[in-house]
Amino acid sequence: MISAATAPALAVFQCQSCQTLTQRKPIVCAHCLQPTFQTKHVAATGVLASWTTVRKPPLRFKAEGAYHVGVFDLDNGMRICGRLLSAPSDRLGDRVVLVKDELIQTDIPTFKVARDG
Amino acid sequence: MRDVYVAGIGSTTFGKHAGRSIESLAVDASAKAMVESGIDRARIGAVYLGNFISGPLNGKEVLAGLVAEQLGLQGIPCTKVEGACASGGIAMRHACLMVASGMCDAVLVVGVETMTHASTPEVTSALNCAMDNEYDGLSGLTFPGLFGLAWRAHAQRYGTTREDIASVVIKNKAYGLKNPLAQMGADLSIEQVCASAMIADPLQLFDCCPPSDGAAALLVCTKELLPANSNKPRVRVMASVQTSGSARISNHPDLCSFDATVLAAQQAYKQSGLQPAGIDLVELHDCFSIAEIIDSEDLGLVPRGEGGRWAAQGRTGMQGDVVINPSGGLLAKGHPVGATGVGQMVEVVLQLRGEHANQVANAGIGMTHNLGGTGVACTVHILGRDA
Repeated sequence: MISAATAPALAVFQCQSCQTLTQRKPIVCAHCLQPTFQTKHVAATGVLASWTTVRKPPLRFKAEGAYHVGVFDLDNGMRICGRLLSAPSDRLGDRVVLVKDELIQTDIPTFKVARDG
Repeated sequence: MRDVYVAGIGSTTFGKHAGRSIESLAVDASAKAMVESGIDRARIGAVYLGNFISGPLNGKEVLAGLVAEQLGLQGIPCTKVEGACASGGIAMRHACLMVASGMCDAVLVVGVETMTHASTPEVTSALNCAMDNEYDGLSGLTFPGLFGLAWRAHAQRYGTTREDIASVVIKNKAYGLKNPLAQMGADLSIEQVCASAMIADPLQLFDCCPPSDGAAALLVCTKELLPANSNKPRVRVMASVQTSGSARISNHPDLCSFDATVLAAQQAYKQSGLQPAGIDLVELHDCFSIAEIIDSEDLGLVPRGEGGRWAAQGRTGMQGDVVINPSGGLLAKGHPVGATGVGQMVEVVLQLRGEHANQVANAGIGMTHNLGGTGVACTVHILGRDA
């Protein structure tokens, strides 16, 4: 069973003024317009909101061939767009977990369905 | 604010225009609109040109000035506007603002794009300029992929089926056969749609609009400038709205809806004093088959979650409750990105004049909906035939 305590962590950014979390570091916080952020690690578990298989990639990803892109709703309320190590049976609402050691590229968060719970 | 009318329209066909320069297509369409309007060129106070990717695909910018010069329009403000797939609709809105505010009495609106000379990966890359490439773009998401995500979410939440969505393709492709401006009309069966190549699961080839070359133009003006001796019905702009939404899918609270469309529709109904039931036809942004279903719900024309079933039951066809995309839409007419929003206006004006090749009976009120990027830009216009 993957719990928040044992799940891999995803590094996100937290505004030091209003504590808003963002996946990538903004120039300023869109909520309070302040420019100072700190890295925060959040439990990278959640549910699969949707996924697709991109079979006609743009030039920069052409060498990869087909790949799966997913939208993931983390348990802390954040919505993340990233890669999915998918199987055709993956259903929306399935529990997902970050795959830290199987990243396709280090700057793309990649998740898999947590079939063990 | 002053009333705004459409005095003239012009369009090239949408499709392949091999060997034609992008500005030559825009000049063609614009000249037709100007000549049809009968308005003295000296009364045209501005040009707004909608275009998305003439830079990456053609190596050309300052298109508005290039086109205006070839039309003998000099010394007036000529502006290219860009809002991804909504570029044409945004150009129209700016023109309406100029006339309504009193800044100009007549304004030329033109949209143009050429895409078919480029390879699929080049076009895909260029179109991905409409994505936030510091966020979603890093994942390798494409626009077909975005709508693949939306399809899967819509199917699971509302029970929308492959067959429901195929009925949008079959309808629009059939209407495209009747439209002389359309690129890719076809008489398709469900089996043919379902057998086409997978592009971004579950989105297949026939679910995607084709890249296209083309241009469309309108001349908008005050009521006073309309030729008194014209025998054509007068077409008035009843609402002109532009909104924005998030460029990042992580900020979309609902994968089955675009906030920018919902907001634009609400504002357009308020501006026009109309309700959805008052719309006779709509040309909406069916860049992908599932987009027509989502758009129809976001525009309030179809109950939420019922878009697929309405399409399958023929309730969005010529004899339906609301006629959607009688031109064939982007799926069949083609999607020369910057031209699309203006092309939608041309289609609606033809309908309101009673001149369309796929005429909606008694068309008095028509809507256009033009959506850019991940829903980052949206325009909705409502046009009406004066009594």
